[in-house]
Amino acid sequence: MGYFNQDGHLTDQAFEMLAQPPAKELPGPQQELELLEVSEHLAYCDSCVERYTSFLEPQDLMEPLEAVSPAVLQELRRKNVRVLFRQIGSMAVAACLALTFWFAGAFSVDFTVVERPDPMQGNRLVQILQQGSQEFAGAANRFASQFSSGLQSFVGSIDLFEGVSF
Amino acid sequence: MTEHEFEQFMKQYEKLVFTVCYQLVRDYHEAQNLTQETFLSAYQHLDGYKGDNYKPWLIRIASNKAKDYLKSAYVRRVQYTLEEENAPEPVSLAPLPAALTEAKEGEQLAREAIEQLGEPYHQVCTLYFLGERSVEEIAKELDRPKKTVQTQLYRGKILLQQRLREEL
Repeated sequence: MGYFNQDGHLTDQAFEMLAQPPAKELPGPQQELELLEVSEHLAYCDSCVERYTSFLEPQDLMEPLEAVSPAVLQELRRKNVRVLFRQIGSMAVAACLALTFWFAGAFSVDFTVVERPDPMQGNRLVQILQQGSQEFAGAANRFASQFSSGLQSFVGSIDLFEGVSF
Repeated sequence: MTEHEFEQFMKQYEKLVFTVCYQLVRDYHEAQNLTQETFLSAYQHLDGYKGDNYKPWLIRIASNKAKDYLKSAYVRRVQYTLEEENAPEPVSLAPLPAALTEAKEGEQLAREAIEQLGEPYHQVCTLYFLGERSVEEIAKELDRPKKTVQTQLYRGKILLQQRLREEL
């Protein structure tokens, strides 16, 4: 049975074969291979898909066993929930890593200004600015130190094993 | 597209997609599953589709789903059949003295067997065995996906082996 012409495209016979009414038995090996060959061709050939589209008359279309939309929408909602949980999981891991680095001191920064010979030394405005930057550096250091020790004592006060018996 | 719009979209095209899936796999329940998979795939790629006619696009997706289903069933059946038949050992490529005089006859037989192959295997096997083209070159010349060419070449070889065994 010639379902492909010399150019390798589907013949009208192929479309007529597809449109045959449902048989009582499942297809045998030979017909299974022919259907596979036809579906492979339709998967990449635009011109044959266009011809197949025109072969499918609206009055010949089949009704599905049951409506498709409820199952598809349910599956889409399930996928969205899975994606959301994955994002929350990633954020939780990132937060744990950040806290680990914090307690290890990776984020402690020394704001002390390095003293360098200043060519503008003696200038009153420069002296005022230098004094201000030193005071700011000291305040920033005190804040970072207090925040870090406060956070450590808070976490240390949490009894992880409260209510757990061994 | 909102959920409601996609629901309307499915109601509009579900008969078309189900018909295509059934015509290709000839099983109602499998056609139902493949129809659902087609719409799930369509939803993921809807934003990338710039055409104005959804029918050919949906038929293409449905054909791909049917192809994947039929291919896995075919491969399982062929492997099972080969194990059942205890496929013979491949013939050694080292030519025997007596076989050298028969080599030309064998080559002629192989050529005739390739010429007698039907599409979609004839062009692929002719270019590969007689034209000594690579799979990539054949895919480009015939405007077929590379994987399709590889699959058709594989099946073409099996058909040739069967025919040559019958001849010999």
